[in-house]
Amino acid sequence: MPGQARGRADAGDGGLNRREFLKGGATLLIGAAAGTSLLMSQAGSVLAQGSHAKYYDSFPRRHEMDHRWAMVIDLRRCVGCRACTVACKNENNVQEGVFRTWVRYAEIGEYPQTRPRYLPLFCNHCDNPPCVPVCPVLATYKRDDGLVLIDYDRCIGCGYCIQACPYGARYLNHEQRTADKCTLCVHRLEAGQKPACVATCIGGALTVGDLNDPASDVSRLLAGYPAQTLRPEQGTDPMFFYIGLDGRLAREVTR
Amino acid sequence: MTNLEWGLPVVAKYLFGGLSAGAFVTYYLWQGFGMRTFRPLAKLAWISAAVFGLAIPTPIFGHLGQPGRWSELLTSFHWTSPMSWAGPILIGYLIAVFLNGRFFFYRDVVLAYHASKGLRRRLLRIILLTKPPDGPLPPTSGPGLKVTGGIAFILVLFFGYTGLELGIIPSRPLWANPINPLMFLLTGIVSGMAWVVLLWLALERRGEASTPEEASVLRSLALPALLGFFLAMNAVAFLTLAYASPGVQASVMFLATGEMAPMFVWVGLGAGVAVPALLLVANQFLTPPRRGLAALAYVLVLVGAFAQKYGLIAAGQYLAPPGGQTYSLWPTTGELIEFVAVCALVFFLFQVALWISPWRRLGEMRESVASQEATA
Repeated sequence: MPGQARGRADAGDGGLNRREFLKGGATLLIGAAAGTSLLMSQAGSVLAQGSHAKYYDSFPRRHEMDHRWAMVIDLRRCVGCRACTVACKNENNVQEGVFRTWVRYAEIGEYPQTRPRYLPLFCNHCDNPPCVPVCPVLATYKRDDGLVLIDYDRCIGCGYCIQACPYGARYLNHEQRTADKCTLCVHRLEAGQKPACVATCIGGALTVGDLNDPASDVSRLLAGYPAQTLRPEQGTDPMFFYIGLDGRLAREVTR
Repeated sequence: MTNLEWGLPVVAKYLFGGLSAGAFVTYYLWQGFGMRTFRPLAKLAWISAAVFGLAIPTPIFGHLGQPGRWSELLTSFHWTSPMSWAGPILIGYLIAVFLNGRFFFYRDVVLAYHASKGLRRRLLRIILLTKPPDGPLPPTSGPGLKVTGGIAFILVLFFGYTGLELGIIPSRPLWANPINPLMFLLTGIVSGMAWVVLLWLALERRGEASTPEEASVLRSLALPALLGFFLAMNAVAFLTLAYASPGVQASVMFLATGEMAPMFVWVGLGAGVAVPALLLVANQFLTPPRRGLAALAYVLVLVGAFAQKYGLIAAGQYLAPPGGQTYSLWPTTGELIEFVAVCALVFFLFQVALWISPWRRLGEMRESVASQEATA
């Protein structure tokens, strides 16, 4: 029996000492409250903007970049052929059962006045990506041109970024055993080519380009037509813009 | 149909973390706060805290895609990812707990060292750190006991980081709840306390006559009070979230009335919180308090802690699967086998810990030393 404990034991073997119980309980509760308050203050700052404002001060934002990759999806031109899905799978050797690019389908309206609507979905390469700060090993990062990428040699495959993405754009690659997602075909962009999905889109619904260049195709499209992003309430500031997005469709397929 | 990204291994990690934290709090109620009711539980509580503490990372090795890179977690601390807090918190906690155990068990270990031989003697020598005295036993270091115990207790309060891991994810409406850390801490303390009393009843009280000391433990108000507080917090959380945005409402109703309701509401909160609280309160009025009734309550608390965690984690992911897929809510065969294997490892660690550590009464060891000396 340790000295201190023995001293207490010698003081008496009475049963439940209510004064000590209350005193100890109060101290315990105050301690727990103090500890969790500290955690709460951190959580509060985190939740305030849907992400970590201070952390992101160290990253360049859209207007601070020389070049900012973005995509415009003109849903008026999308026919739901899913060629983008197949091209992405081929180009990036995406494993069976998961997708980096996929197309959701919904019947909008009430029978018999229903209309088929398609919504191509990707990683939104957000300006305020919630997947980046939560990565416990800093494997996912945002580049100076805005692309959100994964360092596959560092990723431990914990799945935290998959949980944090509000677009369901990330998945666990069971072959390389890390998180994975759309890279906007960064290897093609760096070679001066368009991403596979853009190059293959038969309706010309997908346009990729530099958002900070007023003469680029994406800037002209965004200047000419009203565009929306998915789940703006998440505060992620996505860089994928949809023209002709039906609010009912967005709610139906991204909830 | 795909499996949950965070399934049984993550639940097991949270469960073991909670059990360790709760066991340490039970130990510290005597050692730190001097509450006599918990004195007979202290040794088994410390052992449970240490064993479950060692077990916390094991389910995660099976869960990580790249378990070989686990050390990255220890070197990448940053405030924005509560998961990266795990390294400093758990390592600091384990070091503090083990050092605290060295001070707490000092006299017992010295006695056991002199009474034992072979491998156990060598292991006890390692635990002692310093050379065991041959003459009269000196008292243990009071400041050492207090400082290490205090550090470990403070770190236990930060075990709520597990709730914060979920709480900072706005894309999962059910999880993005600022009271999660406190809820996780509470359910951990409750389950750890229940485990320790259950272990004590099984190892020390089985077949023994009822004593005032036992009655005091079984009539302790700590566990029913914490269970009641936890239930009240759940009610407040439900009422708050049920009137939140439609996305949050859908998630809450899925947990409250959907496929996960039997596990979370009925098993987790009903059988795992409300029923044991009532059983333990009923024991207050029985003379002597019934061991069977208390043991049933503690088992239900443990089952409930598992069901609450699984229900919340599975339901939180259900409404937002990646890549246009749908989730299967239940664990895979592989996950179940891994979970059983981890439980077997915990059982083995307990066997080793109980074999090495001098958790039995001091008198038995003194008799053993005396008989050895007489033989010599």
